[in-house]
Amino acid sequence: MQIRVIPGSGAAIYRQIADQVRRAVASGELSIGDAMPSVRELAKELVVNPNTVAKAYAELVRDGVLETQAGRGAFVAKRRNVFSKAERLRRLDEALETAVSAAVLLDFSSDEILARMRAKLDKLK
Amino acid sequence: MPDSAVVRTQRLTRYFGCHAVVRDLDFVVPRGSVVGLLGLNGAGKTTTIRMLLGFLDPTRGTCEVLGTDSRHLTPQTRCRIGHTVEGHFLYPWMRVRECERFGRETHRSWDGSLFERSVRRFGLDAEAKVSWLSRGQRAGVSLASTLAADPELLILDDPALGLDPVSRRALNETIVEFSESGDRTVLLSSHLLDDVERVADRVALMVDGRMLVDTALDEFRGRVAAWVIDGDEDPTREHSMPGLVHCRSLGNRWHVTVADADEKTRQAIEQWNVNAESVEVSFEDAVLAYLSRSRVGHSFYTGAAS
Amino acid sequence: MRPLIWKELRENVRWIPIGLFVITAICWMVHPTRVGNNALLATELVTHFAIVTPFLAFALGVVQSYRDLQPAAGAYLNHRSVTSSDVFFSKTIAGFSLYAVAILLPVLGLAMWVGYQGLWWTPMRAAQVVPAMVFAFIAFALHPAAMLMMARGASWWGTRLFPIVPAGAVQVVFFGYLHNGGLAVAGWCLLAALPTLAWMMLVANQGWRELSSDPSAETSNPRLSRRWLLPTYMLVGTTLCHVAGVIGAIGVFEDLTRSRVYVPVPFATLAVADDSGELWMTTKIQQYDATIGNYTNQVLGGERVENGGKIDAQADDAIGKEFRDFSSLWPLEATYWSGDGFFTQPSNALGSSILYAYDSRGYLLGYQQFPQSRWVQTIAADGVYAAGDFSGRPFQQDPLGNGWRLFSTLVNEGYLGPLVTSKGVMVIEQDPVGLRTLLEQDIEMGAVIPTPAGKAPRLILGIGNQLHEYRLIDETGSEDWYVEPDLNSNLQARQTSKSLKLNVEWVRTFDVPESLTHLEMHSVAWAPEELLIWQNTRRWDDVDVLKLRPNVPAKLLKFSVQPESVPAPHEDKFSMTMVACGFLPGAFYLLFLAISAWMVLTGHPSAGTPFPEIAANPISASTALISFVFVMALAFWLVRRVAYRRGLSSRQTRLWMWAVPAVTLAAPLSMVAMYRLVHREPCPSCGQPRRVDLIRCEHCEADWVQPETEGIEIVDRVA
Repeated sequence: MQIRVIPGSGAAIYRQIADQVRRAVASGELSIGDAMPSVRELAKELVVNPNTVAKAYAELVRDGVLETQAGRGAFVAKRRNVFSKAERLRRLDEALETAVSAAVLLDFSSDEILARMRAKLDKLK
Repeated sequence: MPDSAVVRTQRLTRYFGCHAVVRDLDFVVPRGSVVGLLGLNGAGKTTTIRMLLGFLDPTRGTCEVLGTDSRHLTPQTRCRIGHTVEGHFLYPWMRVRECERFGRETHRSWDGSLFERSVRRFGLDAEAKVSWLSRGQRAGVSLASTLAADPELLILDDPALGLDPVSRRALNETIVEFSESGDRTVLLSSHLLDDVERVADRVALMVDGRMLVDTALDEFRGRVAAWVIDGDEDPTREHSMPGLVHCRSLGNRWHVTVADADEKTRQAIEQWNVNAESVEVSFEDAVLAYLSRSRVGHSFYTGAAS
Repeated sequence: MRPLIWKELRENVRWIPIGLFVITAICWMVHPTRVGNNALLATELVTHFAIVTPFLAFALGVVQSYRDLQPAAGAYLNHRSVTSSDVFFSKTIAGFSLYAVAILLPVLGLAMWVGYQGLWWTPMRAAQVVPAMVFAFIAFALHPAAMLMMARGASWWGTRLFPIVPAGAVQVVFFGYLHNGGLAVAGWCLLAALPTLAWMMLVANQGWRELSSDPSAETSNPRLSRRWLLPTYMLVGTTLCHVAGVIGAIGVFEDLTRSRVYVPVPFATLAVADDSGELWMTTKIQQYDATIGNYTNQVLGGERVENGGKIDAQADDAIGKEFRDFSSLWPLEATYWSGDGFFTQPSNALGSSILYAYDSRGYLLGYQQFPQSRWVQTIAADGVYAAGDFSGRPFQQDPLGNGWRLFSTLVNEGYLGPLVTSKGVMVIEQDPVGLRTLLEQDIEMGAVIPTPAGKAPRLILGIGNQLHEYRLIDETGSEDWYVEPDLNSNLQARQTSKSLKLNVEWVRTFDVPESLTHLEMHSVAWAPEELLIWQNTRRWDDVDVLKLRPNVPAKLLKFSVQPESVPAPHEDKFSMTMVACGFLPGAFYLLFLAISAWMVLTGHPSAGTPFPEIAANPISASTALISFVFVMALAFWLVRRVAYRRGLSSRQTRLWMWAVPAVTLAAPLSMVAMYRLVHREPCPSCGQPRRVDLIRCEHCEADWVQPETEGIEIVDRVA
C-alpha cells in the first residue's frame, strides 16, 4: 500500500493518511488482519510528525477501520458497525454528494451514472 | 522530574533603540513537541531565539529555557541545547574530522558514531575542509555536530535556507527521527510551510513582535475558515466582523479569512452578500492570512494589506 | 579550554608572517652599522616598538574577537560545555603566543647578532634589546583592550574606542621609563607590567562576559558596585581623557599665544664686581645676537650689597661695570651619563676626536670615527689599554659625565676635559697615549669658577665641610695659558681645539660652617680674599650670603631687595591658558596645595606657599577661578541630565554630584561611559515618558497595557 501525503492541500495530513487507509481497506488492497506499519515506521517513511500518524491511526481505530492489539501494533479490523444508522447514512450522503456532483458536471445522465456505480460495486464483491 | 515546558517566556520584550522588536511575548514550548515558529523576516523570531539562548538580554520580562533563566545559562544547560543558525556556520578552515574532534572535546556527551553515520550518508570525505563543501554538505556536517551532542532541545533557525531538495528531505527525516522518542523537543523557525506542516505538531506564529498563534497545528487549521465574496469593493471596509484575520483581493472577488467562525459570523457574511462561498483552508492559506497582517511591511509586496 | 586554544591558534596562525615581517623590518632598520654615529640601540628599538607593537596587539585582538562575536559564529561556540570566560582566556593565551613568536624571533636574532659582533664598532650589548622586549610585553595590553572594545557594542561615534584610552596611557607611561632607562629600569617595569596586564585582562574578561549580550539598563546600572572592575576602568579612562584634554588645550593655547619672536626678559641676580671683588645685586638682560651666534649679557642696573640693607636692584650704579656670576657646585653623581651605564652611547664630552662611552663594567671605551667607527682604546683607572683589553682596574663611577659637568666651560672653549672621579682628577693624553693623574683627592662636589677678567678660572673641590681652591696651570706653571673668550666673536670660531697640558696646584682651603646644610645646592663666586657662597631661592625678601676666608670664621651677609626693583617674570594679563586651567579637576588643585603644604612643613629649600604668587597675578588667578566655577556649574547640570538619560536612582545621582567638585567634567563623562542608556516612551495611562525596561511606570505605577487582543489570537497553552 502506497500512501502519499501532499502538504499544502486543503486536507490535513492526518486526514489524508486516514482517507488513504480507508480507501485501501475498501478496495481490498488491505485485507482483514493485515498488519499496519508502526507509527514510527510510517512517520519515517512519509517524513511526517509521528503525532500526525498517531492521530490518523487513532481516528481509524475510533471509526473501527483498524484495531490495536496490545504490544503488537495496529491491524486491519473486521468491519464493524460503530456508527448508528443515521450516522452511516449521513456519511454515505457526504461521500455520494462529491461523486454525484462530479458525475453531473461531466454531463452524464442519471442512468449512465447508476450503471457505472453498479459495475464498481460488482467488482468489489 | 523534568519540567513539562522546555521553553517559557513571560512578557518578554526587547527594544532596539526606540523600536520594540518583541513585545510582551508569552510563549511556551511543551516537552516532546515539534514547534514551527513562523513569521516574516523582522517579526522578531530570530531575536526571540537569541534571547532564549542568552545571546541577547531582554529589555523587560523573562525567558527560561530548560528551567533556567536565559541570562544565567550554565555550560551544562547550554550543552543540552542544540542550535543551528542560518547558513550552518562552521569554521571554514576546519576539516570534517577536526569538526568531529572539536565537538568531542568540547561536549560532555558525544555520540561519535552518529557523526560517522551522517558523514557516510552524505558521502563526505573526512579530510575535506569545510570551505570545500557544498551548502547541503555543510548543513549535513552542521546538523551532525549538533545532534551528536545529544541535545534535549533542538533549535533550528531557517535550516533549509538554500538547500537542494535532497538535502531538504534529509533534513526533514532528521527532524522526524530526532523527535520520535517524545522526550526531545524541536523549535523550528522556517519559511517553508510545507515542511513545517509535515514535521511540526505545534505552530507558533509571530507578527510584528507579538505571538498571534500558539497551538497545535491541526487545531489551528480547524479554527480558521474562509469565504470568497463577490463584490467590487472591500467588504470589510464597510462592515466590521469579529475575528477577521485578513481580506485579500481576487480581481472582482474577495477572499476573507476568519478565525473561530461561529454561527454569527456565517450569518453576518450572508447578510452582506448572498454570494458567499465557503472555501477550504489549507495550512499555507491560514498562515499567509495571518502573516499578511503585518503592518511593518517586510514582504516584497504588501498589496492591499490592511 | 585546550581545544579552544588549539582552535584559536589554528585560526590565527596565518597572521604571524605579517608580524614577523614588520618586526624584522624594524630590527633591520635599527641595527648598528659600521659608519656614522649610531644611535643607542636600546632607545631606537623601544621608540620603533612603541609605534608598532601596540598596533599589532590591537589588530590581533580585533581579528580574534570580531568573528566570534557575530551571531552565527557565536552560536557555534556557545552550545558547548565552555564558559565565555574560557573563550576569552583561550583567545588571550593564543594571541599572546602568536604575538610573542612574531616578536621574539627577530629580536632574539638581532640580539645574537649584536652579541656576536661585540663592542667593535659601537658600544652595543645584546642586552640592549631588553627594554624593547619589556615594552612589547606591556604593549600586549592593547589585545584585551581591543576585545573589550569589540564586545562592548557602543556606537562608533560615541564611546566605542574609549576602552583603548587607559591601555594607551599605560603604554605612554612605560615608554617614558623604558625609553631612556637601563637594564634595572627595564626589570622594574617588567615587574610593574605583570599586575597591569593581569588587571587589563580581568577588566576585559568582565566586559566580554557581560556586555556582549547588550543588557538593559535596569539590570546593569544599579549593580555596578558589585562588578566594579569595568566601571573603575572606565573611570580611570575618563579621568585620563579629561586631564589630557585640558593639558592639551593649555598646550595649544600657550603655543598660539606665545610670541614668535624671542623677547628677552630682565632678571635679577647676585654677581661679584670684577674690579673690587665685592658683592652686588644686579638686574641683567640676556639677548641673542645672530652675528655672533650666541647670547650676550647686559647689565641694566644694580647696587652694591650692604649687610642689613634694602638694596635697589635697578639703581644706576652698576651700569658700565663688569661682573662675574656665581657658579653652581656640582655634586659628583653615581648615575651614568646616559641610560644606566649598561646602555651607553659614545659622546665627545671630553672634546677629543675619540668618542668615549662609559661601560658599566667600569671602563671608558674609546671609539675612533673615521674612516669607520672602531674601538681603539680602553681607559681604566690605572691607565690606557688597547681595545678589547679589560685587564685594568675599573672605575667606581662614571668619570666622563662628572668631568663634563665640572669642566663644561673649558670644554666648550675647545680645551680637553679631564676625568673626575670621587678619588681624583686625571687627564687622557693622546701622544703618547696615557692617563695622567692631576690630583688624588677625595671629591664630593666641585665647580670651575671664573676669576677677574683675563685670569684663568679656578677649580673648587668640596669634601665634607671643606672647600679646596686649586689653580689651573699649564706645564710651565703659569696661569697665562687662559685666553679670555671674546664674547663678541663668533661662537664657532671660539670652539677651535686648543692644546694644553693641564696641571692643578692647591691654593687654599675654606671651612664651611656646620650650620650650612645641602652644600651641593649652593653656588660659589671668587673674590681675591674670600669665597662667597649663596643659595638662589629666587626670593629676594630675605637673602643670606656667606663670606668664607681660610682659617677665619665665616661672615654672614644678610639683606633684602626692594620688591619693586625686582623685575616680574611675566606680565599679568588675561590668557586663554588660565581659562583652560579652570577645567582642571578640583582634585588637582587640592593635590597642589597639599604638596606645597608638605614642602613648607618639611622645610624644603625651594618651598613656599602659592599665595604671594596668586596675589601678584590677580587677573590670571581670577580668570582661572571664574572658569572653574563655570565648569563646576556645567558639570552639575550635565550630571543631572546624564543621570536622567541613564535612569540612575536618586542615590546614585547624589553620589555623582558629590564627585563633581573633585573631578568636574570627568564625572558626567564617566557616567556616559559606565552606564547604559534607557529609552523612554509615553505611558499609555498617564502620558508621561516612562522607561521601557521597567514593568511599572515611574509616575503612575501602571503596568504596560497589554496590547489589545485583536480577537484573532488562537492560543492555547499546554503548560
